[in-house]
Amino acid sequence: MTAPASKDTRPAEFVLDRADAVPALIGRFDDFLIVAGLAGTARELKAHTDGAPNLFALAGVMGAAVTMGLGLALAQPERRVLVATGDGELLMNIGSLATVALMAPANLSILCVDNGHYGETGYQLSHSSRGVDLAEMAAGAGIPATAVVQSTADYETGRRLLRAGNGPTFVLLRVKPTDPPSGKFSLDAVAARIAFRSALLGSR
Amino acid sequence: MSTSPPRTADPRYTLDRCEIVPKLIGKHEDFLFVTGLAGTSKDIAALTKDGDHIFTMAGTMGAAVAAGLGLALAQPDKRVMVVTGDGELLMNVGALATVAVLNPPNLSILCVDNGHYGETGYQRTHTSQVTDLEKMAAGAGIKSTCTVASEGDIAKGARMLREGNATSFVLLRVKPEDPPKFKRNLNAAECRVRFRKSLLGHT
Repeated sequence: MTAPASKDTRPAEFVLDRADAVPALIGRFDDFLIVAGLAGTARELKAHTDGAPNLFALAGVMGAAVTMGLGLALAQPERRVLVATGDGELLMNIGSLATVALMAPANLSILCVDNGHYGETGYQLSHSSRGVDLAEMAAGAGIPATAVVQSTADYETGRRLLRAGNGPTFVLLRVKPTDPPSGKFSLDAVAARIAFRSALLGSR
Repeated sequence: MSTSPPRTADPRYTLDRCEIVPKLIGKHEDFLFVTGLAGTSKDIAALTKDGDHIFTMAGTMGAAVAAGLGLALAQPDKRVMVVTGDGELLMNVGALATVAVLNPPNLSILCVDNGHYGETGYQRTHTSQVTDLEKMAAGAGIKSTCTVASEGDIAKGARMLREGNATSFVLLRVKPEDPPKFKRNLNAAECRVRFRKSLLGHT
């Protein structure tokens, strides 16, 4: 039952600390409706937004964050929608990027926090530290604006892209395989849905 | 029972699949084939006269690449070719990432991209609008990729499909026209038994 000891085999480009880089790229969280993917991004966004109701965390629904964010962006064209997902979560349903490119909502940005590992299950190496370039796949899918952020010098580009008004945009943030900021949050999916909907629409 | 939307003429999609697929593949007996949905199944069944070295996955949308990957890993001494379509591949395009990581040298993927869902009435797919599947394959990490969109590209594509040092991916752009008319065996169990028997000598 021991996970492979892969934490030290990461390629050199995975050096940023997600605890610093994610808030640096997103900036003011209140400017977005946020859909977060599995435990990693769900936990850190929950910690950063401190329970604010503009976050819908999809803990457990591996692969669904991008399509959920796409639907939200199409339904709420006046709001800026941010999907925060991980490399493993995104790889589970990477074809959804092609549909994002096709529908092309201007108000949608995707931030993929890529630690090159399946953090939730014991830090097994994921495809993205073995040759898969998710930003290139996103560009191939047809997303017109993509960027890779792997040093602090890239922050400005990444930040700008997440707020560009002519999206969709895709930012790949490469980080060390360390745990996200931890915060306890409710795993009650129904309560999370109601809280998000009520805050957004004023009713259930 | 909706009527088919008109197929738009697109200057990027000019080749004729009935002519170019056989040219790219050359001697088909050199390969074990796994084919995707109806279009490519018909291409390869017509080419091989429904030979017993083809496994056609009619109906299992998205499974051709993964099935071909498994076959290539299990049969390292045979050359395996997956022949899939743009719609079928888009259904499970993440499989290319696993192909790239495992990188079996005896596997080639030929994607016959007509930019349309041919089987359901020629609705446009992502590829004739925004998506470049060769670029996605390269992004997935497949080192040998190319696009065949004109006669001049055929020699390169044919060579790549037979390269022996890494998995290769060839995107063939063709006009949105029907594949060869060929009646093949649609009994999945029989096809499986036939393929296994021919390959392994038993079922």
